[in-house]
Amino acid sequence: MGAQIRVYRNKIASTKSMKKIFKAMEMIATSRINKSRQGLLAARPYANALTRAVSQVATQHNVSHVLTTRPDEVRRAAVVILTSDRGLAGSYSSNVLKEAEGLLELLHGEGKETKVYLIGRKAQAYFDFRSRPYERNWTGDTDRARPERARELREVLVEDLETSYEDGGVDEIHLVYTSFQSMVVQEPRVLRLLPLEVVDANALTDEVAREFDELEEPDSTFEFEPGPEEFLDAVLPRYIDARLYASLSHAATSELAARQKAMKAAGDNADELIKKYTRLMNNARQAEITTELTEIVSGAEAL
Amino acid sequence: MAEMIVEIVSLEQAVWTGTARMVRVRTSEGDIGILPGHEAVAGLLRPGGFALDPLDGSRLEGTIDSGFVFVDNDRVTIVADNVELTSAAA
Repeated sequence: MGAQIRVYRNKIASTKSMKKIFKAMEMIATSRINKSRQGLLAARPYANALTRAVSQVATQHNVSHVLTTRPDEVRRAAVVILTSDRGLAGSYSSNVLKEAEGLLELLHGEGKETKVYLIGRKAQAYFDFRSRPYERNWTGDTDRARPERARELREVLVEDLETSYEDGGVDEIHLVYTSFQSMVVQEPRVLRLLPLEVVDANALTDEVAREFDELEEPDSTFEFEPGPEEFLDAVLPRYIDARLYASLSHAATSELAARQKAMKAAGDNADELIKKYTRLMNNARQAEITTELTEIVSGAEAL
Repeated sequence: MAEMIVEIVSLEQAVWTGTARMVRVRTSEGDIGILPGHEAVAGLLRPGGFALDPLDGSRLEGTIDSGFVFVDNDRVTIVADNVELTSAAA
């Protein structure tokens, strides 16, 4: 057999085995994406209830809270970047990182220091490779949002916010995540998580807040037990949990959608390649046969 | 018959939604029973049990580790960090 045919045959074999991997990954992503999307919807009642509670307190009482008051001067900002653990998800992680770079540049331009928190191995690799500092990183479950992760994140971030600038604390916290719009559209987004903007009912303007629909006009005066301050103290952290959890769910769902899309494209490309190599291989075989025939014919003629 | 819309929600999902005649929860100030027409109340919950009577006549009980309750216009929302239903209504 000709050397060329052998080369093509090897290429076809390896492309075929890669195609199997792409197909498997596409199927895994597809099977998990629905569950993830349902999780996105299932978390809404909690978020709605909290939004109602928080805006209720805010409209009825003029209480100020460390999580809602804007500092006079922002000297240091924390940035939380949500990427994926694994690759093979197209440009999912790099889009988020690009968005994050833009935000960091903006913050630096305003003369603010930054403190970076990373989620996902891709973000870690990106920062490690460039020898850039980051505060902390979490890995291991970027494709599945877990409430414990949201709570843990909130604890770290709130502690940071409550620490004074001199002791290394921050004045505001931004979140860079990917918002899941549909199976085809996922957009990287920047969200200012803290301090919260809860001036009044229905005054929540940003993206995540807009999803907390069903905001009814409060019409009754509430009795707070034990008191509005204590109530707010208990409600605000949960409100932040809800937002973090929503962002984590969005990111996880987007990651799965991006992976599914990327793997579908890779599988299709593998098909194309196999087709192309098969044609080339047939060509080479035909050419070999023709050469052999010519050799035999010319050999016979020579006799 | 007077009834209230009850929602029990945790961070991940709505644990139970439906209509009920009575809800009993344990707030930081003590146990309160909520009947239709209850005044608007927002209260913190202490760890402990809660109970409610769904319309079908059964009884639903469960435990909560912490959270808060929100009553407004015959609409009761129990927000819990961790909730466990001990006797699920049929």
